[in-house]
Amino acid sequence: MVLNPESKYPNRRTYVLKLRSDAAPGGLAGRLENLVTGRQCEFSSVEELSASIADDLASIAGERAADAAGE
Amino acid sequence: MVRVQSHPNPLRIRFVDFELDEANARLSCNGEAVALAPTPFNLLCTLAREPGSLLSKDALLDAVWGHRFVSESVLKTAISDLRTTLGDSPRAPRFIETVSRRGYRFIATPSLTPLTPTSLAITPQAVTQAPLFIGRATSLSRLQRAWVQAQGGQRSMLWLAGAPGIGKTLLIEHFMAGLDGATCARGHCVEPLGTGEPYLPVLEAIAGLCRVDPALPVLLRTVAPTWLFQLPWLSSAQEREALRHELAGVGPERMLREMGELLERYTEQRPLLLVTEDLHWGDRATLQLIDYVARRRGRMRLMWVASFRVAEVVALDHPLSSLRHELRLQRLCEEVVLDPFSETEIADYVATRSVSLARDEAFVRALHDHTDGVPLFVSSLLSEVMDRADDDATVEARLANLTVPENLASIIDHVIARLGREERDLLSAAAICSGDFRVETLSLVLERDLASLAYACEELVRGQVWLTRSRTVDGAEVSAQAYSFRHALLRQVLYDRTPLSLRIHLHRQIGGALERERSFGVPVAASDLAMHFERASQPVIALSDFGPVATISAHGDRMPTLC
Repeated sequence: MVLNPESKYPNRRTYVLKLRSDAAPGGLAGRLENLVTGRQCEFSSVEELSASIADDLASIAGERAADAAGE
Repeated sequence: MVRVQSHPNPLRIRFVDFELDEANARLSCNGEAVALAPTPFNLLCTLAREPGSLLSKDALLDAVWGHRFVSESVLKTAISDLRTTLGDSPRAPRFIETVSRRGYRFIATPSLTPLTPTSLAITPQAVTQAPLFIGRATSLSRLQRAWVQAQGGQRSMLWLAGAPGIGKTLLIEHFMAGLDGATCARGHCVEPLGTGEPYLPVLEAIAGLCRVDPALPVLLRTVAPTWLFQLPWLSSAQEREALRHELAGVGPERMLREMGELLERYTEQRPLLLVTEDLHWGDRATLQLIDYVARRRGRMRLMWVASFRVAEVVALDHPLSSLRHELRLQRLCEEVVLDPFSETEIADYVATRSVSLARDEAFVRALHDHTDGVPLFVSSLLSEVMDRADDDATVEARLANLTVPENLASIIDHVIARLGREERDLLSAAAICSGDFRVETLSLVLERDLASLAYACEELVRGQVWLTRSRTVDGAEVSAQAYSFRHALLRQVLYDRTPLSLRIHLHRQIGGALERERSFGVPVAASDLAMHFERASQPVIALSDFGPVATISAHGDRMPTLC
């Protein structure tokens, strides 16, 4: 086995999640903000929250690809 | 085997665990030879010969492949082989950084000290004398580049962001230690438990710089009298009275302009590094000043580094959050964000205590799992399992049996529990003081002998956990008896754990002690005094002590509001 040279929880993959006052177990609603980019996404369901995170992860993958192409 | 490259000054350096001996065509790690093909070896030598410098792809192709016709892909392959051998990653480089579309940079800090077979045998004494600095090569390299830019007249504003305990202060100190005689001024924000002082971290930095540079008070008199007025110990009562008249009707905008002018003129003579720590506790006035300086036109040989806890800023909608993004968007500042340690970096850290333990991947991985790579957490747990002498268990078994603390505060609770009664009393009183504290103050508060307190503080400094000596901007000690907590978290947790009734009592005692010291000419910020009396539930005294700070506000009626 080889030790992982990358941080397990990098800031680029860290978010602040704020739930609105009317959020409930069956109806999550609030705002998600990435710590590094500051990109914010409003969501009104767990599906939208999940889609926001997926979008951002796709952006990270794009950044990595751009970095690799620049090498 | 690698080919011997003839060079007039063959390289012989050490970086992290590696030793590179060009004349003998040898690369070793922890004393053991590492196989490396001739091309990547020559490439490594070429890069390492100019640490911190960008080497273009063309320059590297010329240096390593000479005049042979080769495509860029050979360079990419050789870099990849080299990274594999060194265990380096292009995403989180420790040794070789890619500069997109341009070339590569060797970012490890090489040591030119003679290579010895026992170079990694660090004694416990050595460990206790120097703070350990691991990884962060890319971050350090960015700070160094920003400094070079500032030296050339292009001001550098740099956010240093990360979680509590991630190593922001250590990175700043490591960076400052490498500047070799550069002029540095440092101040920090304190948790605003009451009404804070506008510009506190900047005033602290300027006051510190005034202590070591007699030219600065003179310049303050000439171009920044509103700032001079905030540092009353730099002028006589007569001068202050004259300033009071002169500054009647002056608004806070003038403080911004004056500081801009001061920084421009001061840095004409020498570049300045200004450090503001814990800006997540910063006041609005300081944020306005950062914004103003970042946008001001004109040449300024200034590098301003401001550190903060990024999650707190975002979660609490601190005004810094919008300023941070605005300045970044307009390319008026850059940001270095510190991530938790990777497993590789934890192995490097463990190696400073025990090379054999660092090679135990299961141990390194377990330590990483326990701590999520937060450096303060890592160092605390590692000390916990390595320094215990009350059982016969192996270090690995101790780690496996350790109850994992929920967070950093829980760890600090654990460390507090190990304090003796007198140490606890001393540190609790020190935690009530905001920022630096003097032994003389604690002596008055605790009614303890000055010498024994000074000795106790020195012991706590030597322990490398709780205290550090306060330093001036050039690294010299301000006073043999001025100290501060090594980390804001330590002070914060101790403060929180002090019962409210005792806190009120200590604030009253410290306010009284500072007042006495001030009457003997010791510089004491009026806002500090007022804060202690305010928290001691003595608002009338607090109001009178805010007098000097509030003077400009009274005359100008628009002192910046606080957060």
